[in-house]
Order: sequence, then C-alpha cells, then structure tokens
Amino acid sequence: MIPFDIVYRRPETVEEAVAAWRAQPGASIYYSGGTEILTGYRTGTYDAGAVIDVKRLPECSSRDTRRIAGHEALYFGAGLSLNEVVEDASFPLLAASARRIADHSVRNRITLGGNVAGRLPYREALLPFLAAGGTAHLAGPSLEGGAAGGVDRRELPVRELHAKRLLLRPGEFLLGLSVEAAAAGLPFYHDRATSGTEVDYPILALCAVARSGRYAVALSGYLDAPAWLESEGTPPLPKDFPEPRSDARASRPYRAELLRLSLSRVEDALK
Amino acid sequence: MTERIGLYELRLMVNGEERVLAARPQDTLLRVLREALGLTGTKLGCENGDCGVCTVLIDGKPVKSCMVLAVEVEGADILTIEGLKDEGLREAFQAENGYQCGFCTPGMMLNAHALLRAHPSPSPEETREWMASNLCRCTGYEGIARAIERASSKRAKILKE
Repeated sequence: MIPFDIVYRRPETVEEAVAAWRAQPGASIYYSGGTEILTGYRTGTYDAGAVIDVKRLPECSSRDTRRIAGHEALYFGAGLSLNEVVEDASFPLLAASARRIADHSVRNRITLGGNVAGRLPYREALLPFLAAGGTAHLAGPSLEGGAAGGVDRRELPVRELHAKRLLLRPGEFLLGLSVEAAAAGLPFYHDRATSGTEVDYPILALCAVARSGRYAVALSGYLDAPAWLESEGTPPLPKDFPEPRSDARASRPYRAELLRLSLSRVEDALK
Repeated sequence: MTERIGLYELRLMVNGEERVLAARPQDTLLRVLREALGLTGTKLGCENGDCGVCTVLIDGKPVKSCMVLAVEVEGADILTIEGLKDEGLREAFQAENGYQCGFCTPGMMLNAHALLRAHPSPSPEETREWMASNLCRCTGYEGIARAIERASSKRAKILKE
C-alpha cells in the first residue's frame, strides 16, 4: 500500500510530459513500468507527489529502424517492456541480457527505460548499448525560455552519457535507445552469475562484442555501477577493471575470479 | 493529458465485465481487486513483486498486480482467477497434486494459463522460465510442472482428434 496521496498524469505528447514536469519540478517523477517506483513508495525511498507516465508516448513505445548519423539504426522506445525487447530479438545481445533480468511476469512491467534510468545500480539492459556503442535519445525542458520554454531533444552516445548513472539534466527523460544495425548483428558473448537462484541481482553480468579487432566489454554487478572497457586485439584483462565490490551477495575475491573466468571465454566465444 | 487527483471514477474491464468504482491514483490494482471489487482470489503476499501470488492477466499477459497502479490499466482487459475458465488446467492441477495449501495456486494457474496460450507445447525450459515468477512453499514445483505438461498434452490430443 502506498501510504500517501499522489497525482497521476499521462501525457499524450513529449511537450505535455515536459510541461507536466515544469508544473511541479521538485515533486514530479517520470514513470514507466513503475516496478522500482512503487516499491520505493512503499519503502520510503521515493516520495514524489506526482508521477508522469511516459511509457505510452509514441516516441517511448515505438520500435523501428531509422537513419542516425548516416547509419541504419535500430531504435527501441524506452517504454517497451523487457519482454517486448526479448521477443523482438533484432538486437540479440539486448535480448540475451534483458531475458535474465528479474522474472518473466515482472519483465512484462519493467521497461527498457526504467531499467536503464532507474536508481538500482545494475541496469543490465544498458550493457548491450555500452558494449555495442548505442545512442540515447532524450527530451527535457529547454534551457532557454524559463518556465514557458519549449522542449530540448538530444541524442548522445550512451558511453558519454553514462558515468555511474545517466547524466540527465533536470526534467530530462529517456525517449529511447538506438544502436547501429551493423553493431546489433555482431557476434556477442553474454554471461551472468548470481549468488543463488537465477532470479536475483547479478554479482557479475557481462556483455562483450568484437568489431574490427577491437573488443568491447560491459559489466554490471561487479562495481557500484555498470562499466565498460575497449581493447585492441585481445579482450580486456581483469586487472584493467577497478577492484570489485564486496557485499553480502559475494566477496571481492569471488567476484574477481568470476570476472577472470568470464573474460577468459570471451575471445573463443567471439572467434 | 489524462490527470487523476484524489478520488476519481475508475472504469475497469475485469473478467469481461465493466466495473466502475471510486479509486485514488496511488491504489494498486491488487488493492482495488481485493478491497473494492471483493475479488479475493488474487492474493496479497509480498507486495514487492517477488512472490507472484497476486498474478493476474492484463491483455493476456501475466503481471503482478501489486506492481501496477489501477489507473494505468483503465481500458485494459483484466483476468483474475475468478474469471478463468480453464477446466483442463484445473483438472491437471488436481490430478498432479499441483497445489497443497493453495495460497499460490491462483497466481500459478493464471501464469500457467498464459504460458499455454503463448506456447501450447512449452519446453521444460519455457515452463521453468515463466513459472519462476511464482513461489510455492509446499509442492517443490514438480507437481506444478507436471500439471502444465499434462494440460498441454491433453490439449494437443484434443486438437489432434
């Protein structure tokens, strides 16, 4: 039970969504699948008085192919559920990664954008875009024009936008993520380990691709936030990554050994 | 823009019937089903999206109703255990001892029903993937897996005939 009153808004357009945020900038939160927010409301980690449900906006619910920076790209709306992403299967590494998040029923609610832009530190749906070099599509209040201003839209490489979390401006939200079609079709390696049952947060989730002799590896559950590295000729080595975290799920040496084993399989898997 | 503040009139399509009730934006679908509509076959468990006892089908897809605001599903087709008409699955659960205390059974059956609609002959891996959404503390899951297999086989046999 959510122990206080909230206001629910469902805009029809990006402009309405941004205007709704502007109306209560300190008290509104963008809402998509809601799994993390509803849990946070109950446990007291979220207290926003208004939610702006953006998952049905056309830009958030579409899955299409478009030209981005001169390349054919696959676009995934941030409001697509993880199961929709899995069933789409046009970006196999994303499907493989999303398929292991939470459980099947919850994946009908968790959205791509919610997983990537939420507060939980795992964000496994982001890893394929970090490894393959994706683009984030954003919208938010224009920096000019004050309270009556318009909407700014930005497209940024995910690798530049992510530093422990998505570096969003105030009032900005994720419309979708795209990846170059050629990168989406690359051979990939995906690995995931939990401390117990399959349905759990990862102590290591790893996505890797190789392109033109360069290896890109992104991981989650190992550090306090997702991270990625690229290397020439051979996959990155464990020592190239910072020291792993240590917590109740797994110790530092255990995580380090898992990473060593996983990285040792990358080269063969991508040959 | 749709906006809901305070008590408002919520229209839901539940088990094929339109239901009109007073709700608040923060009411979860689970609370509305149980407390406003009296559909207590949908159980309240962890309220954290973990246990699956509150599973219902929204437009044919299994979801945990504790993780959904009722306001989000206005206009959607909601199926609870009270509206499930799947005699074959019910008989299979009985025949294979797919339940013991029965608390998880409504969620289990709705998820199994959705699984068999999406995958009429599910592989053991598909069954495991879907049913891992629901926890059972009594059966050890083997009876549930057998019940799904039995229901699937029976349907295939009927279709063949």
